[in-house]
Amino acid sequence: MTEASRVLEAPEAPDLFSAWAKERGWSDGLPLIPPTRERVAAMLADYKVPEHVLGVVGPRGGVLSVEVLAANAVMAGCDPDHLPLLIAGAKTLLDPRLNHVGLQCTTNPAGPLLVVNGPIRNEVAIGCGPNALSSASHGNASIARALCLALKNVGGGGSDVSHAVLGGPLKRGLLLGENEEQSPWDPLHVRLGYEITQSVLTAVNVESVINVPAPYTSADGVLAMLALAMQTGLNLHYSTGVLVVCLTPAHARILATDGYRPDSLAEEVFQRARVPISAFPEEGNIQAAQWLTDGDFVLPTSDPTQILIMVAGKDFAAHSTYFDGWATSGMASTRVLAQETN
Amino acid sequence: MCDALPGRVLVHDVCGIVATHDPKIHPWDGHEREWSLRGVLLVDNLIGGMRDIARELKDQLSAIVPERRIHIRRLPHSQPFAGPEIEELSLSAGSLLIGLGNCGACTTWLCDLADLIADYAPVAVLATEQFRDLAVSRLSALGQASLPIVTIPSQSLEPTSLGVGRVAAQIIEQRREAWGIGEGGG
Repeated sequence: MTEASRVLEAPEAPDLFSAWAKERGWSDGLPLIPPTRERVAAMLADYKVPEHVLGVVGPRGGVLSVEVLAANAVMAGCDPDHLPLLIAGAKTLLDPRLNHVGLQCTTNPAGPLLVVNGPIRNEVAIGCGPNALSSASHGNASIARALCLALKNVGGGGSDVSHAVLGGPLKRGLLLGENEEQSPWDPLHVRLGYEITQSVLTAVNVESVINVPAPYTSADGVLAMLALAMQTGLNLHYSTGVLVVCLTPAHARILATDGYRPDSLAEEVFQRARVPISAFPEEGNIQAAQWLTDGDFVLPTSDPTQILIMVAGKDFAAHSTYFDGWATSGMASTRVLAQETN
Repeated sequence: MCDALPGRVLVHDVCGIVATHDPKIHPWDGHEREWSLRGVLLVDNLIGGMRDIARELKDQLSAIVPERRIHIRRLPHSQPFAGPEIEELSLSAGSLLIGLGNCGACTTWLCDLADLIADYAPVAVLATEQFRDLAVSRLSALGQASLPIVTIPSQSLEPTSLGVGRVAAQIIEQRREAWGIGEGGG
């Protein structure tokens, strides 16, 4: 245990501990596991420098050390082998491009979407296929939750700081792996410049999860439904933000067979997702924002490079997913280093 | 620490320590810098009618400051501030009002911007009542607790519903003493 960390006495029974933690502002509303010295030590078993600082978390200005991250991870139900992904996730979410202080305080229901690529998906059983964002994998839910819990607790992002109007499930984060094995294209991390043998975590902030019910067999049918889904979101008022198109393997194959690659697909949906200015209220754009227009159309984001194409989920030609990006943040990736724990 | 009592366990703190303000990075002396009217810069972040408020502020201030010394700069983003613009922003400023904090992300952005500028120019943050506490918290975390926050009353997320003339007058009133303006305006 380091000098920087504090130890407190708390109820041992999980139900009593959850109530105690809630009173202290440590809770995200779900049951919590007490971060006992033994559990945190087990989480850090192979990590030699627990006081290593991953960053300063706002708005409070709290110091996020590996040890404090591990304590939050225990509360959220993570396993020790999740630590490399947790460390990479924390580094990524604290990248200035992710605007984490704004995210903690915004009125928007936005939260992080974390995408895992590379061998670590299989090493720690990250869900990439059917039900990946639901119950398919313990790691998917608990790692995302742990990272959001750590940012909230260390950054002081509790109810007195968060100004979310309604909030939403994204506040606890989403994590999934890319279904690289069933994708017709290079994996996301390879397209971002990493080696295929490397493990990488990529994060964007998104504000909603939109189902794309497209039981069509033609590329045009799938594209039409994608474009409909993409014609909403705060990003339209700013023409900024990273927009995520998550295709099922079957939808991706339909598009690949028609000649689309991720970059040309992004260009196509960028064009199709433009919204006629006439579709907005007569008073035009909201005062707080400036959108980009092309003739009589509003652009969904600044350019096609801000549309992230990925493949995940069941190999089924329906229910791809669109995540509209939080307009005031970008994207960042971090290599997951298993050796960091040695 | 000793072992816990029966039915109790020892648990790790999950919040961590608060980062110490680094005086080498932020040589802020804790005192409000001397405001002057040699140049007034109003940063319009386009939030909550700030565009109209800035225009009205300029109109009202022009009764006591030559209009050529009052500038409005539009920075319509609530993303982390890009460094190279700091110097440009500070050059003309004998006083600098940045606002409006009227959402979570934009309020923290204004505070971050104020933190970056505070070493170069006297600066105040404008925030509505709803977001004043957040501004206080963020400035405190940045080691800038003494920076002034000009508070705008708001019953809604649209403070201009109170009338931009009234809002601008209230802003000037809150900085009157710092500017050394008498009740008559001079």
